[in-house]
Amino acid sequence: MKSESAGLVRFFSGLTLALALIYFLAKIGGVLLPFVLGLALAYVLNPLVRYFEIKGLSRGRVVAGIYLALLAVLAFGAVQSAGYVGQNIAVMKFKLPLYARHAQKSLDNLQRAAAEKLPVPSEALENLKNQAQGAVSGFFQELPARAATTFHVFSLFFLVPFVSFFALLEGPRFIEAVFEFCPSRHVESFLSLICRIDESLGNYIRGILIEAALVFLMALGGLIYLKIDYAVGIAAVAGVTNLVPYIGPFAGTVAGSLVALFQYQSLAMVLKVVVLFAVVQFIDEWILAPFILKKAVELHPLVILFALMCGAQLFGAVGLVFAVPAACVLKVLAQISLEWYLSESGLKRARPSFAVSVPYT
Amino acid sequence: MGIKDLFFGFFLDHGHKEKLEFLRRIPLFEGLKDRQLSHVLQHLYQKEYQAGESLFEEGDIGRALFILESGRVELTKKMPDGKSKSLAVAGPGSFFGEMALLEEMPRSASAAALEPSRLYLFYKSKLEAFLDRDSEAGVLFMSRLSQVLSSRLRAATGKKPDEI
Repeated sequence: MKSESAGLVRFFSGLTLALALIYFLAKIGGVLLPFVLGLALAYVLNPLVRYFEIKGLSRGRVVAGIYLALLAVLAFGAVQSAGYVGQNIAVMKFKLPLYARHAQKSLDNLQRAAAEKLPVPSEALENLKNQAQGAVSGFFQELPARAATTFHVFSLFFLVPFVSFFALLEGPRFIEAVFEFCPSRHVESFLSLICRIDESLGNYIRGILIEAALVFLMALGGLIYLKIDYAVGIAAVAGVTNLVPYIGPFAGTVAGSLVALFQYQSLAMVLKVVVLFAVVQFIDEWILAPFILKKAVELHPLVILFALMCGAQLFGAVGLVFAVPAACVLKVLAQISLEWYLSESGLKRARPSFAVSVPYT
Repeated sequence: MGIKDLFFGFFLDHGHKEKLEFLRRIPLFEGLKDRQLSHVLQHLYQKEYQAGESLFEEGDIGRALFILESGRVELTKKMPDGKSKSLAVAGPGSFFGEMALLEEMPRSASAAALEPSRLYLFYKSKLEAFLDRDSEAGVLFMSRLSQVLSSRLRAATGKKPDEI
């Protein structure tokens, strides 16, 4: 009875702590993004660091070397692509008002066609057109500002590598520090928990990020082949939103189709973009995902929906992107904690002894 | 010394070779190549225990194999009269707790450091990752583990197979 109530106290203390943690994380949501991305990047780069460690090289110097090499590659890439990006920005500056005019023209045509064919009062159609026009022009005007405020692009460029650098450098030392605080008798159990979390999460995070990067590259190749403007931006949207099930695959398609429509005013081009993204999705769903995420966590569609809604409610657009990975992480943590609790509390049934009727020979 | 040697010398982890030499002497890792031993090393966690510190208690769930790098660890078992009986004192190069690599079951004995000791911990989950990655090394390791278990079982029963 006493141990039962002690168990309940432990359970409710844990639950309270978990809820307090979730509340705290929701409050500081915006600050978390660079740390989450930095840790994810560290998980992606860690196998590379390990590869060199296995060759007998020092971790600290390997991490520094990798960062210097990445910096050199990025600097080279920036110099090489500066012209392309600048050109894209110039094109965007020039073409955005053009696209807005095209959109307005399309609305006018639509209004005329509707007035001719539908028995709707012209005032109602005018109101509807004004509202749509307002929405479209608002969308184009706020586009750069929205992109900048939502993703904090420039701060992320500096913060994410900074966080991942220290995460890579201090990774093993962090675990050693945990050792120091943990009572020696419980080190074994506690570290076993960390090992399992590390194994499961490492595989999962590496998997989804590699998948997103491959989707980005495939989309980029296809868009450049089709000569669609802002190929990098559209492919980036497709890659990042690939983390969002159901909604993700449409985001790249919609962005690409809109640009194709405004750029070429041709439904054939829109169709080509749609086919491109359908092919990318097919390759992703049927070839990449089963191979890359073979050990990934499976979630029920209702859980995915719930996670997406929670993510959007708590952290907005960023929450939508990270909702499913976070749900998978929580599921892994819950599974491991439950197994750990069952074995520690002795509730887990011992595997029955087998083949013991015959003596040791 | 060429520029290439100087370059690699700068990145070299000078403790790496010594660690590999140490692992090579452990019967469990006998026959593994340097590359495979380096992989094993990636899966080991190092921990220092002070004199008198408990590594685990009899009845605790076993989750790791312990490899003693330096120091001494005493393995004891509780007798029905409540007193502890010393089963063995493990020295550098010894390993114990190997059953935890096969099953997460309660420990059959307690272990405590007799003096400041440095140990490597090899977890079941890490062993699984190692086996998954390199099946050739995994087969060799599991074969050595079976031999160790067989030898220890034979020693524990105190009888030769033909005497049973």
